[in-house]
Amino acid sequence: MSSRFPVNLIDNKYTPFLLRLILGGMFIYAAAGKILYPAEFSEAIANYQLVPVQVLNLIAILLPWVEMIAGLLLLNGFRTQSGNIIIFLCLCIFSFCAFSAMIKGLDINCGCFTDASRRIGLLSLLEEATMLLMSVCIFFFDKGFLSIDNLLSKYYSS
Amino acid sequence: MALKTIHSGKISRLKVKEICLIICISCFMGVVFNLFWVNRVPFITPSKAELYALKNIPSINLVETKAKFDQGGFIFLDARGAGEYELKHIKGALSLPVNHFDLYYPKMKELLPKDAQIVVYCAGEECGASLHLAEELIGLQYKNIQVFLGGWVEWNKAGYPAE
Repeated sequence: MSSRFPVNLIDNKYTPFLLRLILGGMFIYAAAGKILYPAEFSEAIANYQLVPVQVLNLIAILLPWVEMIAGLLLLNGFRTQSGNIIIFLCLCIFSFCAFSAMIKGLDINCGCFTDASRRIGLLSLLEEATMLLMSVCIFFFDKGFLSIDNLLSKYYSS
Repeated sequence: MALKTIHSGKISRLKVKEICLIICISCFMGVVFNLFWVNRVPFITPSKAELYALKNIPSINLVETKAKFDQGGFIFLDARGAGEYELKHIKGALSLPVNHFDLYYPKMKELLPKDAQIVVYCAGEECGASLHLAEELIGLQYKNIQVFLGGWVEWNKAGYPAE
């Protein structure tokens, strides 16, 4: 066992690649439901009571596409770090919203995925924290394994 | 130390312009998609009160709703999803999820005479489920439909009876 354990569990080319697939896949899945049913997502945002009524639909129209594109970038490894930073920012916003809903004592659907029975609570905060950690790991340890970025850099350097 | 240097190098290489460009492209795609998508929504959200006024559907506030609740003789209908209803709802309210209206309504038809005094609600001030349910019921010739604007969030916040 290397002296760098447990860092070497993450600091290899496979683990960050796996994290990219999981995180990118989750964002694409979550975004797809919101893109298909913007009215439902708009209601889910409204339940948080954080933004003015007038902009609810606009957020419901734009945010899922940011999630979708960032998820695709992470999955394909094209502009990986930019996609990852966007996902990190999204996760920070989602965590803040979930935390504020808990502080306010709101008993609402989290709106994270299309499953309407998922509630805001410690479990959803834990999920956000796990995904944030995944994003941080990708940022620091991704080696570009099976990524378009890597292919392009090889192509241009040859 | 070497690892730290590599990482600080990564942070300094963050491409802010690229990130902004990706976000702008995504937003543009969202706008274009919403123009043509079958489930599109208006870019600026109309308020719930505006929508009810436009459609001539009577709406009531928390005080009026509580008065009707205490008075009795009113049927409270929860327009949210079944999962949300099961978690907690206004005491005595019946579940009629508007997203599955055709599935639930035939089972509840007996409990809902056409001249019944009905109060419909959904999650909160901005949800649209109660509006859709009220429209469905009015379309079926129900005469005494009122919508509680504040919905479950306001009722729960006030600490009124729930189960």
